[in-house]
Amino acid sequence: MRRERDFQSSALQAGKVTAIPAPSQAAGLKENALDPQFLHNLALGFGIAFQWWNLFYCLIGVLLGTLIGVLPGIGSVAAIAMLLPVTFGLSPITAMIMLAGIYYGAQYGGSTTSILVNIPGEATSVATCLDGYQMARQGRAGPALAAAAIGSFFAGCVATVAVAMFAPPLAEVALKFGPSEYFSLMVFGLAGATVLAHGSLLKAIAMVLLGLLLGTIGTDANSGVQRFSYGIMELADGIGFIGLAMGLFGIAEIVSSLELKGSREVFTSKIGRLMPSREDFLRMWKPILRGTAFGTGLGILPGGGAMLASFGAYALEKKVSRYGHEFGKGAIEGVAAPESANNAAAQASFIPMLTLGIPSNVVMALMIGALMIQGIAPGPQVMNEMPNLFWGLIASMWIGNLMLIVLNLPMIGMWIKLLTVPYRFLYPSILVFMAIGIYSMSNSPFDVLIMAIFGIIGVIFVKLECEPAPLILGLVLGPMMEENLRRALMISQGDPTVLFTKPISAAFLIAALILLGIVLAPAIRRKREEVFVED
Amino acid sequence: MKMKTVVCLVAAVAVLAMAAGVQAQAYPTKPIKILVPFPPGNTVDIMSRLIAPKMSERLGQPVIVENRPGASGMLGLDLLVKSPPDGYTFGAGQGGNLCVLPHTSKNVPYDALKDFSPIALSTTNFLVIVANNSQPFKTLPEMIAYAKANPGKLTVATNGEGGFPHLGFEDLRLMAGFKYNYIPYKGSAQILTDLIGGQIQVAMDGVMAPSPHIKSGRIILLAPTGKSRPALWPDKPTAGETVPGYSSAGWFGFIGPAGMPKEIVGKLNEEINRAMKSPDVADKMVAGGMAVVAESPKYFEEVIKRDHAKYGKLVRDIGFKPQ
Repeated sequence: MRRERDFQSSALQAGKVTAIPAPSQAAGLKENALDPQFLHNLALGFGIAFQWWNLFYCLIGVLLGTLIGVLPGIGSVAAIAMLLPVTFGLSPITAMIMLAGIYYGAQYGGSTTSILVNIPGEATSVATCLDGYQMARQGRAGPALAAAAIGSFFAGCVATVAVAMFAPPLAEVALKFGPSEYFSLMVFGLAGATVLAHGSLLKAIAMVLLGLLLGTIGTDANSGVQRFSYGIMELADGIGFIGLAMGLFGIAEIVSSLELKGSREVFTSKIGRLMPSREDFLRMWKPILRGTAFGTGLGILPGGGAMLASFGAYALEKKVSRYGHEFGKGAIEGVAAPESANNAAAQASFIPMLTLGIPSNVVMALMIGALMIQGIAPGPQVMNEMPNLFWGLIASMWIGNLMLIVLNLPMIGMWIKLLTVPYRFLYPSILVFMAIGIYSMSNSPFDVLIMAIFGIIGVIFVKLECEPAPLILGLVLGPMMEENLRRALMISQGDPTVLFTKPISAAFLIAALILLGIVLAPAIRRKREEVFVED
Repeated sequence: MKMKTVVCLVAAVAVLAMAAGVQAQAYPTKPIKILVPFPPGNTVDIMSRLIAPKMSERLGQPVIVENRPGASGMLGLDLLVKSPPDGYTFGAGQGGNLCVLPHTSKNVPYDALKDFSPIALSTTNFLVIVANNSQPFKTLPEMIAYAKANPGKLTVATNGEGGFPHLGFEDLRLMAGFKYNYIPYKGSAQILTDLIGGQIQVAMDGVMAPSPHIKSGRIILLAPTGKSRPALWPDKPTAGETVPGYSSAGWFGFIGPAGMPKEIVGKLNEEINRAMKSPDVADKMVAGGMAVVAESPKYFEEVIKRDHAKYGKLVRDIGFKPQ
């Protein structure tokens, strides 16, 4: 009873603040999405999003998000957590608009450091490092940054349409994913990881396995036993992914570039055009479309959706693109696809949160926390009972994406200027920012140490020509795979056939087999070797 | 001579009293830190962030919330134990890491009964037993009958092996006498997804996450586990009404390192309780399925002792091996 009352009062509050009367039967989404009701809802949403204070907080959100994305290591999780208390005084819709802006703004910003200095600012921009940084080394940082921004913009707009039109049915898909389906999806993802590598296949598989092994560190969910933590309490939750990625990519890059004194000139002397050429655009648009589709599809799945999407889109492009042989050497497709995918996934991850009240990642969990503090229990009823909140947020995402592209395209020139800063100034400051960022994740000096250790390991990998990307995929997917496999088997009481009798699960396993078949087929393998190993 | 001694004594007492007065007056002279051993967004984190600005306003010093998540909260509490007991660092504690973990984990770095100064017991909560909506049972007695008719078949999910809800359900199993298939999870979101999707039959969890789904009818509330019927569901019999004597309720409060001066504990207790009871904070706690209690340090200490003993016995009774 009490809760009911709270709920109504906050609904009233939202109505009051936005000053637009809620239509009695808004959000009748179960019917055809293009009926007049849908347009009416959109109009309602834009009416709210265009109120000046909502525009203002949207701008603040995307600005902060871009900044956070650009600073290596300071992720959107830490930023949103720090800003939560600020939102207590705002109306629920304004709070959500700002927090959402930070989240997708960070997806835009995260690509900048990946491309310029090979440091993934966000987990989802690891795939962008692979080709984006190579493009920057060839003096094509401008087109790479523009490809990332344009891809993100397009994907953000399209995925928001998906959220608006198909949120409820899409959310139902997420519910179909039980433990066995997740396990099979992860197997598929790992099979895809072998495609990622552009050196020796054997090394790629070894790196995946190393990632899986590192993923076993930490507390076992089923028994509570601590594995390989050697009494170090910080290891009880496993090795932090962000610290590891920043070490393997960022520190390793900085250390190994100290060796090559001459390369610095090559880097800056060739800064060419800022905007992509006509040919770049022609090469970009298909990867952007495919990346968007991939991201929207995987983004709705709780867990590693966004990250799987960016890696998956990259792997897919590498297979289907006419320029597949350029991947890893600075192909613009290798930037456009994962960047579109991660931004689409960022928008799509709102679907399960808004329609079911189920968070698909930590940021969404924080948003739910923010709503709870406002007295709103996120769940299926939000869309019907608080159309202002739902449609206002969706409309603000379009506006926010527009703001981001307007902000980001002119900034490309400024970012590129950064590359002309002498390394003796640039690198130490990046190292300091990385250390601050990783420390702020959970106020733990141990995480800084992890980053440093993996920095050294990363240098060794560079010397051995081992790609860190498959390792990262193994580390992220391994624990989820184990957890879901064991859970599936516990539910079935030890019967492994559930993995094959459930249709979605079986389909992913078959797809994984086909993928491995393609990679391992002798004829293709020979071709693969001649194409990839020479560099 | 005698007179002199008395004067001396009086003077000494006066000086001591003044010193104490000065100390109480002086505190706080620098920022105060609330150590939250969980990530941002967690219940105790929200609680701490809500009261911090209110305390800061009254105490005239910034009150900062610092998250030190890790190892189910043990990492943060270990840091708290190692902080100076001067009142400038205190932390958020709950039933799980003070009364359950010490019995279920082998590596707890602190002694929950000796290493802390209880400051204030702030909120209590209860759990809910919920079921997927297409099961042959719709009430707790029916679920127990189903579990007895199909021994070991009923799939039940809770958050973390040996955690607070898991032990709560084990207690129910022991008292009602049935068998089930336990499926451990790492978080309410996953549990809910699989419960709504029908991958698992029953779950026991906090009130916050499941309640919107109970409202929408996607999952069925079998029973709340508090001692009495909650205001949220006045018509729903509690688990204790089906299984007499059964209840499972958690609590959240604030603790400091052992050896904190009594006056500082008293001062913090007063300010924490005042902030917790302020209408806007209390309302938000109630919305999250909690009740604000705002109890004294002495009472809190007894609750910790009582629950520590209760879960120690339960862990032995169910034969759980500490990991």
